[in-house]
Amino acid sequence: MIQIEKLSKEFVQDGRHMVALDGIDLEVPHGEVCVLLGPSGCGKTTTLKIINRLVTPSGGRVLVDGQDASTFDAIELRRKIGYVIQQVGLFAHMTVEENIGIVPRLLGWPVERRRQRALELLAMVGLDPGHYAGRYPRELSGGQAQRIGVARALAADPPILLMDEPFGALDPISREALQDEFLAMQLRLKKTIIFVSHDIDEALKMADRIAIFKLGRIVRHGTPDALLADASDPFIESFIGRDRALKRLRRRRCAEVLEPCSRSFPRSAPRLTPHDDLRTALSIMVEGNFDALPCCNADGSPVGMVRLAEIRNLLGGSPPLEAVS
Amino acid sequence: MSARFVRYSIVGAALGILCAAAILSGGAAAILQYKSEIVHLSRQHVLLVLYSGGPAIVVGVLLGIALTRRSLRRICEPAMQLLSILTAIPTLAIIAIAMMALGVGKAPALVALFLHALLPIVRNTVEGLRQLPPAELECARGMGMTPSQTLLLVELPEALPIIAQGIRVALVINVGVAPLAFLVGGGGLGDLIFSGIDLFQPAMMLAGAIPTAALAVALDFLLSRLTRLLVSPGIRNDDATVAQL
Repeated sequence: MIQIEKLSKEFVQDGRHMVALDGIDLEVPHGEVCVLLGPSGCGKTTTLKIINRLVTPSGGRVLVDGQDASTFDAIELRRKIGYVIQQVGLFAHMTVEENIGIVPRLLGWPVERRRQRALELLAMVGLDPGHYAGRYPRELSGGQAQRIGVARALAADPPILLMDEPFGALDPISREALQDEFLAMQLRLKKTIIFVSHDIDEALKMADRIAIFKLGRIVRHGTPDALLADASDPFIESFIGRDRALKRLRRRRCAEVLEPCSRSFPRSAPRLTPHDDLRTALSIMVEGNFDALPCCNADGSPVGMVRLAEIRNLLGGSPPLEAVS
Repeated sequence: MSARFVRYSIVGAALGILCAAAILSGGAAAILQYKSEIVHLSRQHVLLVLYSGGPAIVVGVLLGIALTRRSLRRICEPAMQLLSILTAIPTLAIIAIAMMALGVGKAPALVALFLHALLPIVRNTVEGLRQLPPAELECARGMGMTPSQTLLLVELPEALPIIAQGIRVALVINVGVAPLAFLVGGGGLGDLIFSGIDLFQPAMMLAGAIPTAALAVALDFLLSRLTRLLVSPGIRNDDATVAQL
């Protein structure tokens, strides 16, 4: 659990007084992914670096599990917080195995245990341990390097992970793949994660909650669905885009709007599965001019109907939004 | 591959010229009459280079590390310029000045050689440490390395190829500068070279010059091998094109 209270950061650059953070409050419950979203220069990265004390705040405080982070020893604190950055920053002179084992090494783990842990993590991030353990960073592609970057951050099993646009420099295909694998990993690991991004689609995909930054303030804070349902602020609207209804539907599954129905359908009719998202359902409906589509399990047994009217209903009823003044 | 090829060609050509000169001056027999002096003076020569180069490595690397620390970064540029100016003073003049303070013998020669070796080592240490990717340094801090752990585990190993290059250049040049030690009675192969010149004895001069050149080449080879052993394969550059000094 991370609580940020009235955090501010001011500095002087070229003789001008600058405000990087203007009193932000944020709470990230244990095991959740909180995405800090906003254009560049709005204070997201500064917030992240204040949490692991790479940057000293001008005011306010950060509580980690209820204890003021500034009372910890900075070195000790950082070893308990995984840190992943966009440029990856693997140590070029160390092998992949040595890179992953670096924090355990700082913590004084014996060599054999470090090795075991590195191999275990390589497998977890989807790289063949036998093939990659002895490689050097310069032999890796961008996607492979960032997998190692994530593995390195997880090596000492820290409860908290800070990620600064970790997938921002990757090509779209690797990015999607890494996001998916990361989400699957998070389901098991349940880390408390603060994730900086400027990509709304990434935020909607990864986040349990999103904090939207603008000029050093958090202007909206809530679950992705709540944010999508209420884009009253023109700034948020511009950020989310005018297709927010589609973005919301992408996050919902057919299973959520099923209408029971047990009759069988002709084989030729287009059909959905309960795991399909509603954006896909809508797309098929619009394309074929259907008002309803059958939904079947993989074995073809019908489980219900998805109706256009239900999808409309879903978009109409907005969940409450935590507005931040 | 090409850089190495060029280097070996130059070395080969230089040795070829020396050999041609040796033949013109009366052949190997004329030179080998100085065999016992060659052995004795070569030993002195090597010791001059090592006793000046060893401290220069220690002081140079430490100075380079100090100048790249956060607190001293501001005086780094002025300090490097001061060092460059000091190095611009001809070695001969430094030997003369050192002699006035320390008298004749090995001491002034060692001081001059030490100062001569210092600049390339400091400069390469500073450059090597400055060129490190900021992302690696940020990660090192962010994962909880202390400043000294960052230095020992990340900065020095990564800067090692460039630092080693500076050390190699400094020591190899010093082999060629060390004959000047003769002028203040410092010994070394300069004894044969300068005496040979003064006495119009080309064979004697070459008995000093050829071993000097051979020592330089051998030292260069040895140090480049040693560097290859010490530098991690992850950053080893097989066709080193690091800025030559």
